[in-house]
Formats: sequence, C-alpha cells, structure tokens
Amino acid sequence: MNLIGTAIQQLHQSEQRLALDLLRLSERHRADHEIYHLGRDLARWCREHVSALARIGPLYGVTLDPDLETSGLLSAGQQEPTSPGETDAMVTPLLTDLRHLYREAILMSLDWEVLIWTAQAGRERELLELAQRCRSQTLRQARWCSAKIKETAVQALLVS
Amino acid sequence: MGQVDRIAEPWGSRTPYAPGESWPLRVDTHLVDELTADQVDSWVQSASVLNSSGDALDIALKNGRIVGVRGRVVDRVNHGRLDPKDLYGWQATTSPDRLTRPMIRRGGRLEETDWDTAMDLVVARTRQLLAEQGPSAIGFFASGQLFLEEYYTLGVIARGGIGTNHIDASTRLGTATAAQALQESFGCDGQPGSYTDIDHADVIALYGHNMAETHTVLWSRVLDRLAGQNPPALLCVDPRHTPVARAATVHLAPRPGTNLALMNGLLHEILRNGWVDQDYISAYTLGFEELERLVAAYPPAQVARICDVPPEHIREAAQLLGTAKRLLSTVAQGFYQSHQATAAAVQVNNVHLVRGMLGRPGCGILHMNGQPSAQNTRECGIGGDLPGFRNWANPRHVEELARLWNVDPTLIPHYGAPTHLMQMLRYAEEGSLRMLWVCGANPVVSLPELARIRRILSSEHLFLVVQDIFPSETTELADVVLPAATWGEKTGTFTNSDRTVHLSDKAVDPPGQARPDLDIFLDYARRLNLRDADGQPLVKWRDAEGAFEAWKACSAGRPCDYSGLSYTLLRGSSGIQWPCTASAPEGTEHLYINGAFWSHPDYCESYGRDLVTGAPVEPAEYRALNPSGRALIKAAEYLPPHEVPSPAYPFYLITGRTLSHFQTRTRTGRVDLLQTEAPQVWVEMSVTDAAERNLIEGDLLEIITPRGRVEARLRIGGVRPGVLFLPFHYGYWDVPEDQRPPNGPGRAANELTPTDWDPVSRQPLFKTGVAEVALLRRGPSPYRDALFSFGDRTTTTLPVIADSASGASSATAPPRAASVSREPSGSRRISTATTEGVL
Repeated sequence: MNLIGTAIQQLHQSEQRLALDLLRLSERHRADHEIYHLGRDLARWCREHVSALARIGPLYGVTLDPDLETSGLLSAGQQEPTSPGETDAMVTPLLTDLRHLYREAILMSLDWEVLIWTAQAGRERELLELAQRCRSQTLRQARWCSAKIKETAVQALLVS
Repeated sequence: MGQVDRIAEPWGSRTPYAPGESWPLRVDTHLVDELTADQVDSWVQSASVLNSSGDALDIALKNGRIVGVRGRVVDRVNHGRLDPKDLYGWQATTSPDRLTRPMIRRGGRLEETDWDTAMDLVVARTRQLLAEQGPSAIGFFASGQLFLEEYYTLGVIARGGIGTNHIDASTRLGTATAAQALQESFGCDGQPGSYTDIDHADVIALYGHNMAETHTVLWSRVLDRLAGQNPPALLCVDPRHTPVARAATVHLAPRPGTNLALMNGLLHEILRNGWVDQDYISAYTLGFEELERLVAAYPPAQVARICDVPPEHIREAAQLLGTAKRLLSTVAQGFYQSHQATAAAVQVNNVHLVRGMLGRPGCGILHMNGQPSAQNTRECGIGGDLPGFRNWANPRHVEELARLWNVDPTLIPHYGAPTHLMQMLRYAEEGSLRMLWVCGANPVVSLPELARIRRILSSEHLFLVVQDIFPSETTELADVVLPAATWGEKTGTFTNSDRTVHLSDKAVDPPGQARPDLDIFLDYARRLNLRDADGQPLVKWRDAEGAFEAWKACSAGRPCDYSGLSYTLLRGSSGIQWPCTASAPEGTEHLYINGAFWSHPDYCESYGRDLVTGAPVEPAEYRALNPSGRALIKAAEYLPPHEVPSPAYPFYLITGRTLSHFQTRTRTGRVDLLQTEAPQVWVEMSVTDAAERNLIEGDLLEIITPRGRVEARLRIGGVRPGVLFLPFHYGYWDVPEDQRPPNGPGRAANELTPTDWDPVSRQPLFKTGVAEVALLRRGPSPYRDALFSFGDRTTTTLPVIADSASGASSATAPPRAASVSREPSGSRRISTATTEGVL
C-alpha cells in the first residue's frame, strides 16, 4: 500500500462516517421534514463515493468494502413512508448536529483536495476525475449544513 | 350570435385561425334572469379571479346588483372569451353564507363583534408578542387572490413596520417553483413568453399542465390553432390522459416523481442529434458543458426504465422539440408539485436556451401560475423575495427599500431568505411562532398532511387571525375572524401568467360590515402606529390608487417596472404587460430579446440555489460565475422519489384540479351550476388496476396512506397504471360536523399527502406519495346510475366499462352530465346559456 492508498482508505472511512451521521441526523429530526429527507438524499452521495473508492482502491493496493454498512438505517436506499411528524423541541440539538456535520464535511473536502493535488502531481487521471467529482459533492453537503444552520439559528436565537 | 351551454362545452365554439394570424374575437356573455345585454344598466371593468389566465371581463349591473359578466373583446389575453368558472362563479359573492361581521373567540366559541374590538385585540396581541419575543413571533400567510395594492401594503407593514421575515403566500403551494425555476435560469422571475406565442408556435409543449382544465380560455386558443391551417404539434407530459393528452401528437405519461429523468432524457436526445444553436449558447449562456456531461448518462433506454415510458416515445418527443422552428413551452403543477420540482422545471428552460428559442414570436416559456394574482405576491415581495424582485442577499437592494420606505435598513430582515410557509408552520409547531395572520387562504384543506395542520393551527399557543370572505375550515380554528370584501366589491390591479396587468373596479358594496383587505391592513398599520424614521406614518396611502402609485415607485428601475402604468391608462383600455415604462409605454411582449437577461450580479433577483440541496449560492460565488449577466444552464441528477410503492402501499397517489372548481371550493362550491357538475370527491384508477382488483366504476373505496384515510367513489380510466388521482378541492365546510375526521370519513385529498417539499423552491409536493385502496361498498347498480351521481364528465377522463369477469374493457364516450342534470327536476330550471358573439 502506498501513500495514495492510505489516503483512499481514510476517505473511505470518513465517507462512511459522514453517511451514518447524515442518516442519524435524519432520524433524530424526523419532525423537521427537510432535514429528514435531505439527510437521506445526501447520504446517497457518500454511498456512491464509498463504492467509487472501493472500485479504485485495488489500483493503489487497498481492498475496501463497496457497500455502506448502515445497520438498517437506510435499507436499499429507499425511504420508508413517513408517518405524522411528532412535535419536539429539538432546535438546539439540531444546531449542534448540523455544526458537527458541517465540520466533518469541510474537513473531508480538504482531504479530497489533497487527493486531487496528489493525483494531479502523479498524473493519475482516473483518480483525479473521481476526486474532483466527489469533492464537489462533499462541498455541496457542507454548504447545505451551513445554509440550514443559518436558517435555523436565527429563529432559535431570537426566541431564546 | 349563438347560445351555448358552457358547462357542457367548456371551451365554447371553435374560431379557427392559421399561424401568424390574430386570434379571432368571440364575446362570451352570461346574464341571469334572461336579461339581454341592452337591458344592463352599466358595465364595470374587471378580470377573472378564478384562474390565472387574466381573462378581462366586464361586470354587468342592473338596479345596483351584479347580474352577469361579459368578456372584454379589446383585451389582448382573451379576445372576449371567458372560462365557465368566471361565467357562473361570480354568483357565489351574493351567497347568504358570506362573512359579514368580525368574530372573536370567547370561551372556546366564535362570537360576532365589532371592528374596533376585533382589531384592538389583534393589535394588543401583536404588541404583546413584540415586547415578549420580538418580530420573530409573528407570521403572515397571504393569498394568491388579493390585489397587488393589498400585497404591497401588507409587505411594507410586515417588513418595514413589524420587521418580521415570516411572510409568505399561498402561491407557495401552487407556483413557487415557477418563480424559482425562472430565477435559476435567468436570475429573475418574470415569464419570458407571451400568450401570443400560441399564435405563432409550430410546436407547443405542455409539461404537467392540464391547460384544458386549469386555463380554459388559453386552451380555446390552442384548440382554435389546432382547428386552423398548419396547426402546431403538441407534446404533453402528464401521467393522466387529459384532454391535452388526447390532442397531443406525442403524449408521455411518466411514473410520478421522474420528471427530471425524463427531461434529462429529452435533452440527451436533443444534444446527441445536434439540434442546438451553438451561436446562441456561446453568446448568451453559461454551463452548457456541464449539461452535456450530465445528460450523457440519460440515454432513452435508461430513461425508459426510470420513467416507464417507451424509448421510442422519448425519441419522438425529443425530435418534436429539437426540430421545432418556433417552440412554446408551458409548465404547471405536474412539475411544480412533484419530486425535484425546480430541477425539472429548469430543464424546460434549458431546452429553450440550447435551442436559442427565446425573445421572438412563438418562442416562449410560460411558467404558469395557479391563482389570479400569484404573480403579484412574488412581485410585491410576499412570496419569498423582497418587493420589486429585489434580492435579499444583496445589501444594496435592501438599502434601496429602506430609502423608499424611509426606515433603517437593519429593520428590514435580510439575514436569510424570507421564511417559507412550511417552515413557519414548523416554528408554530415548536412554539416560536405565536401569531399567524391568514388572509384569503384555507390551509386546513390546502396543505399536506391535514391532521398535522389541524393540530398546529388549533394549538392554544398560536394566536390565529383569519381574514376571508366565507366561513371555512380555517376560520373555524381562528381566534379572530375578519370579514373581507371580494372581487367586484373593491378596486385594485392584478397580473396574470404572461405579465399582463388588469384593473378591477368596484361595482357594488361589500355585504354587511365586510371591508376590502386593503382597508383592513391600513387600519392595522394605523392602530399599531407604525412610523418611518421621521416619525411620519410608515404607510402613506389611504386607498388603492395611492397604494398603486407607491408600488410604481418601488418597481421603477426593477424588472417588473410598472412606472409607465396608471389607473387612468388601465381604465377604459385593457391589459398591459410589464415592464411598462416611459420608454416602453405600451408594455413589453417578450423578455430577453437578443439575450438581454436580468441576471447581472448587481441587478438579479436571486443568486440561485443548489438544484439538489437547495442551499443558496453565495453572492461572491455568483459574481465570479456570472459577472456579465448571462443565462445559466443548470443541470441536475435524478434522485429517486422519497416514497415509492411497496407491498403495503402499492400505488402512487397524485392530486389535482377539475374544471368546475377552484381551490377549496369556497366560491365554486356555492354556485349550483359548478357544484352539481362535480359535487363529490372521486378517485381515478387505471383500467388494468381496477380489473386486477375486481373493482367497477362507482365502487366506494377507501384510500389509505400512513397519514390518513379518504373515502371516494371510483372512476376508472384516465390515469396510467399504478397511479391514483384525487381532486384536492373537497374539504368539510359543507359536511356535517359529526361526519368529519376524526369521527367521520376523510374526503380532503390532503389527509393523505406527505409533508415534503422541493428544497429549492420550498413548494410542498402533492404528487409524490404512496397509497393503498380497499373496497368499502359496491357502487349503485347498474353502474351507469353512478356515472351521473358524481364527477365532472365533460373534461377529464373517459369512463370505462370494465367487465370484471373477463377483464375486458372499452372506453365509452363521455356522457354529457349537462344534458341530464339540468333537465327540470321540479324546481327552477338553471340557466347555463352563454351568448357567444363571434366577430
């Protein structure tokens, strides 16, 4: 395994973690319907990144699981029909969860960027294309978190 | 001059015309009491309020009361024609059910009171909440049916006076995606096309737009082209077999929730065949390469699998679009209320951008509205953006408003996008929004997942003010009810789906103590003592014309520029399209001629959003991307819908409209002619699904989702297999209290719909749920009797005789309900006679 292999392995882990965090966010905030649905939609990108990394891994000496282990959190990528949302008072926990996710996604986008530079330097065309595509989606996940934070925080802070 | 039963013939007689000719004139008149036009005392100028076409009409007065309507022949929109709802629907305004006195809740019951008591209560509560929590406690939810002057005044009060960001309109439910899709592609709201594009187009594509039922006069125009020389070819995208589908050259009926995949497939074919205008693309657009890259993954075979549409039909449709010389596209709720709404609607814009088909006759896009003044909610800044299509993320735009209103810019909330309705309800649910003022809307029937809506709006923590013309399911939950005047009882302007502004003059006084919405808002501002920075009244006008003049100043220099308009100009002449300025005094028919878009970073209404996540594009990012104000070609990947059928819920469920009714039937349900045409909720199912389940026309079914249950009679046919359709018009105001949920059966389609919205336009999705059905009771026998007992038969679906034993079926011609139900049945004969004067 070379250094690129190590980076791929780490990203594979980070993507899995982000996917699980997005799914947990979705579960924890079912009554915030956009969080519920988008959390699941955006976890899909992580799932795709995980399998893309598993496909390219062997070229750099790493064997990775192409599937996301979600322990039933997201069966076959389909969502269960929602039942009536329950009332909760989760504004502050929602902010905490979103801040955590934002940090994770931003850090991961940086890791992707490092991989982009490495792939560029090593003229690894396929890896470069993959890393560019994934990084752009990771950044979009981060921006979604920050947009939701802005939207939610003001009302929460104005009220308290 | 002929007499036509316009219930039986909603589109009236044909007046064929050829491409490039002017649409022939035909004056539709309906008068009660067998009056003739020469017996009418006077005519008062107005326009239609039961759809968004903006059909101009005159109100007939006899002895001081309204006796009928007549289409305005001089108007550019309708050339004299009227929709059946407008011909007959005005009769509801004289219904004895009208709200005529303010009411307040005392001891759990609504009691009549006077204006002072009701308004003082509203003002006291407003002050208390401002002191306790600040503006974030107060929200406004307006209609799509008030006048421009009323929206603008409400917007000034809410933003410049109270300082809340929580203001939205019921257009959020109907056409928020129209505004958003235009902003994503062109940086700004405003339909690029004009209704006259129908006169010139050789291909007309209707995306999720059952124009025959929702915009009947516009559909008459299409029918007249189809009946004339060199008729246009029609493309229809709709899972239902609508009258539009029946007239179409190519009809695509995709699985619900797959519109984006279908659009990507059509663009794939257009690009692969080179049906593009490279000069236009390189001169005026950005983003083409990304579109090319993305739609490469959507070949017809792949799209056919996702959408369940034959691949050859996708190719045929793409060929129609790709080889059109003059292409007109219209988009409506079939896209706006379905999964990935904005992303799909934006691809329609992309077809026009890659083909260079904008800004000339016949080459237009009409993102249709649903309600008559939906466009004005967006212009006046109570539909998700700031007044005058100003950009909340652009500090200069906020400063302009502050100067105009003479208030401190920090007072006008712009920390984020104005709060959309569904988020307001969430704030109410968790208790941080404590006062909601609903003006001319009926959320207890019109919003998704009604059990949740009822729970939120009846919470004792929420102070609910409802301003309306009739008692409704929503007024029943109110703490204060304010009786409003309606169309014909007040003066104001409103703007239709092709930017045409009409004046509607007052013809009669409102009943009892009912007041124009404008007067109610002005009274509220006065009692609240809202002041500007110099201590002068914040709202400086006292009547509709004054409000219009103030709005003109607000709109001047912005895309929706009204500065060249005036009541004097509009009165006597007829509709004029904005922008109307000193340099364009007759209005503007087409936008974006020669690629002149409104998307410059300093000028645009919006920097746009991510088409998947909905996150706003950062201002700096937009400036870097689009410094010179080009059109943006934005591509997006298809994601599976949030609910897909399973063994427990094997059907998709979609909801929609029928020709005879408008919104929650508060008006059309009170007009015998319209109500008897479609008196009861029904459910549509395909022939194959019905045969498989041994169901026959007229059976009483229960439709079940995780949210609730609804009972409805079965109508077979008219929809693709695997899909159920329910009209959304039916609520509970005309159902006895003990027969409503939770005690009685549900009949509002929204008992069933999920709470989900497009993250980009934040429009709720009414066409993405799943459902199961169960047979409750067999229908009346023989089944034919059932045909006449429910449902509008003239337009939508053909009833089908399903032989349950053999599974065989055959379509029958639609029986004319009109010829049966309108035979004298002892009581007075109802007249549907409408005069058609073809000129």
